[in-house]
Amino acid sequence: MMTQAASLHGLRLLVVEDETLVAMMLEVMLEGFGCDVVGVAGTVKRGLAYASDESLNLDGAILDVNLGGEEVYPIAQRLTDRGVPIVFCTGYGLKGLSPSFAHIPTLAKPYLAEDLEGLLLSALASHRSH
Amino acid sequence: MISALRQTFSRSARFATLAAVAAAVGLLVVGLSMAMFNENLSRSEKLRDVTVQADILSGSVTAALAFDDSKLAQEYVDALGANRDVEAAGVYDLNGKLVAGYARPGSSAPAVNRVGPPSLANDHIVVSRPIAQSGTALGSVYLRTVSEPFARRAMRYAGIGLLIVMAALLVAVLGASNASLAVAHRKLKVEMEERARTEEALRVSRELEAAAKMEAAAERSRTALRQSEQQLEFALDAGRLGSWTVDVASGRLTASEYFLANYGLAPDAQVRTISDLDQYIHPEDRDRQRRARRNAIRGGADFEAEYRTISPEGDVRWILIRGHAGKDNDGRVRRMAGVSLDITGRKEAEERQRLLLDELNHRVKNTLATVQSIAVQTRRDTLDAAAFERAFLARLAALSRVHDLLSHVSWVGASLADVVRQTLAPHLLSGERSSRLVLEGPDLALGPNAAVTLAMAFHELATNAAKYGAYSVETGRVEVRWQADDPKSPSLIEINWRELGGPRVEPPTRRGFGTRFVERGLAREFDGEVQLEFAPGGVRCQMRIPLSAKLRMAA
Repeated sequence: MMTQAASLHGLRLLVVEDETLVAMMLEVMLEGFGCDVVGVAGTVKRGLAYASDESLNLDGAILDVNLGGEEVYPIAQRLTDRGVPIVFCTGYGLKGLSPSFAHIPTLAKPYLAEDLEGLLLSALASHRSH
Repeated sequence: MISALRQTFSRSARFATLAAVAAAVGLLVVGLSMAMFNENLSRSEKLRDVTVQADILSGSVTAALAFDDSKLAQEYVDALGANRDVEAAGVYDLNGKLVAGYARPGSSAPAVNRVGPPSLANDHIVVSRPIAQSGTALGSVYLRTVSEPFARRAMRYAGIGLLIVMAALLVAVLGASNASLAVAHRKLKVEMEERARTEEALRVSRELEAAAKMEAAAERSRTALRQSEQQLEFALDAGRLGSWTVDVASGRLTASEYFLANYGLAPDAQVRTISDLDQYIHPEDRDRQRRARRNAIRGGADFEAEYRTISPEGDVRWILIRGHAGKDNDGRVRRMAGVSLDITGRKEAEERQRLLLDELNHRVKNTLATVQSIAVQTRRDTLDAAAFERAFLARLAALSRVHDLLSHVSWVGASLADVVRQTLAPHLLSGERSSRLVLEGPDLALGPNAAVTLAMAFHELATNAAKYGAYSVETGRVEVRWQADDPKSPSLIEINWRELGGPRVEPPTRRGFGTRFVERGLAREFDGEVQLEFAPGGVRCQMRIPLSAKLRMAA
């Protein structure tokens, strides 16, 4: 646990989530992991702005797939293009994912803090191994 | 025919009767003639007999007369008495004077006799013959005999007549029976002819009847076929079913108007073969459709496929094809036939339903995530389980109420005023609603997420007001006023929460979930600005929210 906790500690993360309450819970959970939530976006427009901002020095991003009817894929594409590892959180489950992002680690809502932590660790670890 | 028959019958009967009567009359005439001839013959024979007897007497008495021996003459005359027919006899001398005579009682020989011709009376014959010797007259004899007695003659003639009558009757009966036989024969012949004609008519009639029956049966089956075709066509039309037939060898297609319409084609579209249709099938579905077709032809299986068609105008429709391969005696598939149905509506409905189910699932999952978020964050703010439960359930209730509101408007465009009124209702008695809550502003419509977020924000503000602010005392009230930045072309809405008449406000010592939610959550949700001010006279909250799909002026 110590090594895992240490591995997420201080990571600068972007949260893209249109449900305010869910976004706030994510913040609470991530802060509990010792992460630094550097941006929370509820729209594709704002999310793209964060994703393009290199000054944020993002270590990863947690993206909701559906943002009030809009799909999050442009943000996901921007981040993966930049080499920023991402994970999806979605209420649609895995089958709702676009085939080109089917390999992205995905968490189905609602999820436990432990599940999120485990997913982030594996996603970021697999990223670091590259 | 019957009258002719009667005529024929009566004519021949009449003829036969006449013939019989004529024959009978003829017989009677012949019989009478013969009787008369017989009468004459018997009279002349009698006369001859009497004459011969007279001559014999004459010869016998010649000598007696010559010798005037009247006694001898008398002997000869008396000898005649043996003949019962002799009534009277006499021998006369040359002077005519009676020499010897004999007579039966009641009769007498005439006193004088002269030789003359015999006399034939009705009941007797009288003959006078001369007595001569060597050419010398000596006297004469007189002989009177009875002719045949009347009764005897009558008896004789009656027998003859009876025979004649019987013969006539026989002839008549024979003739009549012959005639009746002829009539019967003719009648039989007529009847046989009539019967033959009747049988022929019956046979013809039976043949006609059979032919009529066959024709009627044929007409019935034609009618049934026509009806069945009409019913099929009606059913196909009513069901908007297209029908089609493909000749497998040539690929030739025969298709109904509805079939062409399913492809978005006009009734006169140039579609001759099955291949002509390929261009109207959606490229993504073409291979699948062909494969299903080939499998059906190869395996003789039923053909069923759902695929998209693209009309010449570019309209995409979904159609369902069902067909069956018809095999010939060799088991080869000669042709396929089937129906087509436009299932665009069904496909769209299925798609809508799928989207709805996905959306429902998404909402439920998001709602659960929301509840989870409320639970997690409420726990951080509360010291004990009882406080957690109270705060958590109050928040769930607020969430539930806004969901009620949204479901009333089918999750489209809840009004801001309704959201505020609904959220604050638990803090107000029914009589206080107008006095302790002032709502003022233009009609605004909220999207579902925006409604939930605003409801949660107002719930947090109201809960705080009930604990520490305007709603913690009976005289306090809340004003919520909102307005557009520019009424003509609004781009931003400013919503102001203001508490009045409550106790003096002290700034909170720590920021809990409510404060964080109003300040950060709300601002993030709407990409707007939120200022929460714990002013001593009452809490104020100013929200500046740009108009978007989430919050817009109601139409």
